[in-house]
Amino acid sequence: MSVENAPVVDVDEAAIPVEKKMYYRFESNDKKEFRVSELAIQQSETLNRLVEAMGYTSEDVENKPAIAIENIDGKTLKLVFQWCEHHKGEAIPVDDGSVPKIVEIPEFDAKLMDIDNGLLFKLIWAADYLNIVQLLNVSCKKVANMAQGKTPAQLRRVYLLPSDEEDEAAKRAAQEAQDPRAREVEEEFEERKRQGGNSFF
Amino acid sequence: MDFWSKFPENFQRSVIKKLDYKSRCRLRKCSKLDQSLVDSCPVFLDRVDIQPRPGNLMYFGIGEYENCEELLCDKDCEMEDTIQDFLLIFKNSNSKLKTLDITHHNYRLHPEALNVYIPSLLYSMRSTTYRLKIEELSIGNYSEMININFLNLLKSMDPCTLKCLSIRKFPTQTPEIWKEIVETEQWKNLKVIQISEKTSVKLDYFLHTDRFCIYIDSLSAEECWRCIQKYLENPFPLHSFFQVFTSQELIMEEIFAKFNVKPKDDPVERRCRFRKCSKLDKILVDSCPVVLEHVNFEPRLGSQVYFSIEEELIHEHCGVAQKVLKDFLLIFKNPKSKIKKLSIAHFNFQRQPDAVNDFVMSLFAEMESFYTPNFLLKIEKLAFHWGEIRETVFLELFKKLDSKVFRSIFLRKFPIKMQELMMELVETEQWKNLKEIRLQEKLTIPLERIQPVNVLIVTFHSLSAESVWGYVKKFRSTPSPLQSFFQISTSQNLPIEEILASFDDPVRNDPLSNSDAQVKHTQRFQLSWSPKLILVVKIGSRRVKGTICRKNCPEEDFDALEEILVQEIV
Repeated sequence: MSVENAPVVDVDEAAIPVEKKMYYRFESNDKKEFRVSELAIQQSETLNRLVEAMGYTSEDVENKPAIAIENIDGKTLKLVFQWCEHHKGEAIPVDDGSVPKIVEIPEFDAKLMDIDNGLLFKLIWAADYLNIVQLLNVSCKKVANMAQGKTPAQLRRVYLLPSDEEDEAAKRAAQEAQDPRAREVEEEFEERKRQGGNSFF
Repeated sequence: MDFWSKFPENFQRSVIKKLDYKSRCRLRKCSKLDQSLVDSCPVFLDRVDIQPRPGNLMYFGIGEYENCEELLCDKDCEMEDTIQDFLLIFKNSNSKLKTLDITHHNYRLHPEALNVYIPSLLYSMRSTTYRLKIEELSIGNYSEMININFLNLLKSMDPCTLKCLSIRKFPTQTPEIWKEIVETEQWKNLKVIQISEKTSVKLDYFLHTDRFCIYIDSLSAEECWRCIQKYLENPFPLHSFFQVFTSQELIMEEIFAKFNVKPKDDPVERRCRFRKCSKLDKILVDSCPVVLEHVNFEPRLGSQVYFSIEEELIHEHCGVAQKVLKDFLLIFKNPKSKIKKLSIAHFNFQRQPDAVNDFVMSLFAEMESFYTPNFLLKIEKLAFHWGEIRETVFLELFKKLDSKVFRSIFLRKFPIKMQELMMELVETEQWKNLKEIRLQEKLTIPLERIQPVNVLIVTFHSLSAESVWGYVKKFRSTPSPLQSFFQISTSQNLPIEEILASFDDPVRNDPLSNSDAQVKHTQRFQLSWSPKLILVVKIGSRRVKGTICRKNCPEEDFDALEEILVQEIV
């Protein structure tokens, strides 16, 4: 099945499915609405718990407002639900922390994740937020594969890695943003040092 | 966009865990922050190979779980660099290495290489508090190590992780060092010990392990019995074993005299002995057919062949091929005698790649001298799981089996690759009469050339919809016993939509109640030859399995026969 044909129903674009299964409605933070099958939702621990707690009937699903997912935009959520629909019913892997499990990226997932780094970042973030273990696995594997065969210099470019200096600067900025008084103290200290004082006190 | 540093730390760790080792090391070099992040994630490696090379160089190879067949980092480097690279693996205290293999091929030219390397490695570890988490330490070909270095290397390992020790030649030994070695926690916790060359060591030092294999000068009857008793009294796991080779011959009578159980009677030997009593007895014995459940051959070192008649082991011995084969061929002296299963296993095939070929060729020679040229082996099942066999030898052996009796073949690897030989094989009566084909690795015979059999377990690289449907149709139209099944796996995804499109029945997904998520489609086919049975075919991304089931309880029948087969001892 191609990515385009994955059975996520984007309300604006597609018709309501004919299968007599329960389809929940979700809304992204940019007000895009999606219908997702009950089985597909099981891939997300977060959403599964949420719908279980809500205890919706088929009528509720149709009549009540769509469930809002505040932190994820429509473009990302569409990818997430396409993935869930494609992998519905599959067992959810359990990480027992022993020898690492070998992760292979299926063809469907590879096509789904053939996206720019920004969107990939959002997808990983969404997979983590919605607790979709296998999507998180494959998306992290995708990021890991980006590093394969790269030198440290190339890695810096691929991952946009900051250097030690940039890390230091970022750390300082973060500290200062947290505590403006610390900056004043540091400046005062530097000033005294310039004036030749040995001790701050 | 700041891609990597925007990632929360748990994502970064997830990515690092999935990096190959080389990329991991390179990421470590990008910044101090990345270094500490990488070092905080444990690494799990399949193997590290260290081999001293001329000019103070060391070969250093790393194999990963994901690509365990190829070593990802392999290079010759300065000794000091390999030490640093090696210790880097254990930077995180939870990192674990499955096998450390230290092999010294050039020991004659550089006898001291390991005696320099090991102390340098241990010296570099002096300030560390951790011990090396290594599951298996293998010290291979021709490595010479002073025993104190071996002792210290052993002590540097984490005793809770080290489980297996495999050494070709044990370092020069003194009783004091031996005592110190066996007193270490590491030695006491070992589960598997293998020492290939002769060693002068007490047998008792090995009795705590689940498996050990040693070669010693002599074994007294008391020691032999103590060893057996240890295994009888303790709840060792399944497949635990001991194997002790001795330079001096074991004296059976003395060993039996020490047993507190009566040695089991051996009907095969008795039969053979009785046969030798007189000409009349010989005729009498040969006139009674014998049906044996399972006969097993294992080529061993030094042209020896282990021969056993299994299932409640009734006879076993190890001897030169010619002698063993004579005993074996005696079984067929009566034309009605047969063997239900013949296994050939060769565990040492890397060191003796031709052992099975030599053994089978000796079998042909003995058959020729013992019987008429048209003599065929009456064997129902041939199992060959461990070892290598040449394709021509395999084909020849195949043809020596009596097609009226031979029904089943169970192989790990299908040895025939050449097209002509393959075609020759499938044209034999032996192949055509098969009722069970079980091949674990990829098969090169086209699926179209495989006839419907009662049990088919095969794997292909890829299959077209036409091939799959062709086999399903053939299987469906051939009357087969209840629970007969085919299980065809592929490395590439199956063209499910195309397979469904070729069905001559309306496509209907009708899953069994106990079906798993891997199954994408389940079809129930009616059978023209039975109103009570149906063929249930489950199709997954890379597997299609069909079983003859009862209409009213397909769940019970679908995997029933396979579940019995997987328990079979090869």
